[in-house]
Amino acid sequence: MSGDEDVMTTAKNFVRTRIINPFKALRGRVMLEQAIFFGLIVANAFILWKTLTVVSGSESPIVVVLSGSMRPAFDRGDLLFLTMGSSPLRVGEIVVYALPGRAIPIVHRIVSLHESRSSGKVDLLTKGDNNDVDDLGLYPRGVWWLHRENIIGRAGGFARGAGVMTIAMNDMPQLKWAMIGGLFLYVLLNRDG
Amino acid sequence: MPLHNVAHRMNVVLTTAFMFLLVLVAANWLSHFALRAEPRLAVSVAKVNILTREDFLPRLPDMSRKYQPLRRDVANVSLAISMDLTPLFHWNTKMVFVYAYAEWPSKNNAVNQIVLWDAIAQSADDAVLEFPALGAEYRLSDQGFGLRGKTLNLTVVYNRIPHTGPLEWREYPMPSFTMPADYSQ
Repeated sequence: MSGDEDVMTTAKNFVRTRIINPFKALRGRVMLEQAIFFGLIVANAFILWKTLTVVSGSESPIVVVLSGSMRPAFDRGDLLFLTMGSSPLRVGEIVVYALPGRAIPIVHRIVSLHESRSSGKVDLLTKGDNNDVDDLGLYPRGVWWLHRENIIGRAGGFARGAGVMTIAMNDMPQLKWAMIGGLFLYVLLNRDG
Repeated sequence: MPLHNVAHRMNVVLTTAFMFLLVLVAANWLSHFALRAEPRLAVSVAKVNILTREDFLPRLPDMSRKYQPLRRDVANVSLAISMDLTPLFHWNTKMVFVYAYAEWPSKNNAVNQIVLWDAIAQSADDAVLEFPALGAEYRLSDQGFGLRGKTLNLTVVYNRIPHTGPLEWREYPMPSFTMPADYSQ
């Protein structure tokens, strides 16, 4: 009988401290400890990202492919690792470029290139492997060439389908908030490490 | 606490599975160096079909935002292509993108590069390409009027896309070709 009561007490405690008012069990120092722990996790992720940025030389070293314009090489949800490097850009390279007034960067291949003798400036024209025409129609009005400053990174590595979670979270924002909330609660309530 | 035990165990299982997957990916990538073999690639310019000039400058300054100012030589060539990319296909090859490009220096530009032709092979079954005289997919265009009588270098490159791992580019120089001394009639 006493065994059953123990179980009941434990269950009641669990419901009271973890479900009805999870914060009741965490007071003072414990709360502070949790906050620091949570901060550490966020800081770790940030440090990892910034280290990758420094090593790769690209401002966003990992991108997820969002469109099918590079099929069959890259599909939606594939992960690309970008580098920048100082070597000259060449035709046939796959680059990620950003255009003013366009929120989402584009992953396409360089098909034409002209490098000026005097200034060293490069004029680039890109095209998606799966597109019938080059990207002139995507560039803003009056822009006929891309330049090095438009390039965010050059594709160096590839992982098929490794970014499907990002696609899912992009399509369903609720999922993103559920995941962030879940992670937050998990870290906050998980006192036993 | 039982609930926590389940979560904890799941965490350990997932972490182990993920580490195992990473090791497999690394092994898969390393195996490429043992499996790699040389493909056979041969491309040459069979014929320069046309060499002409485009001379278009929008009259009003405002119009250059709508119409591209074009002052350049353009050419269209036919290529003789013979290649066997079969050796590139193994378990970590998703597809191979192969292309030929022309390169030449000009008065204002240290480097001009134009892709003339490309093809995609998705399996060893469609990796043998034989075209005795194929009209190039893309036009060859200069910045300015410098193509007449010019000798251009031709290069073939394959870009191997793996399932996971680094992308691979390899270049093969091909015989250069010379443009006609004057524009086509």
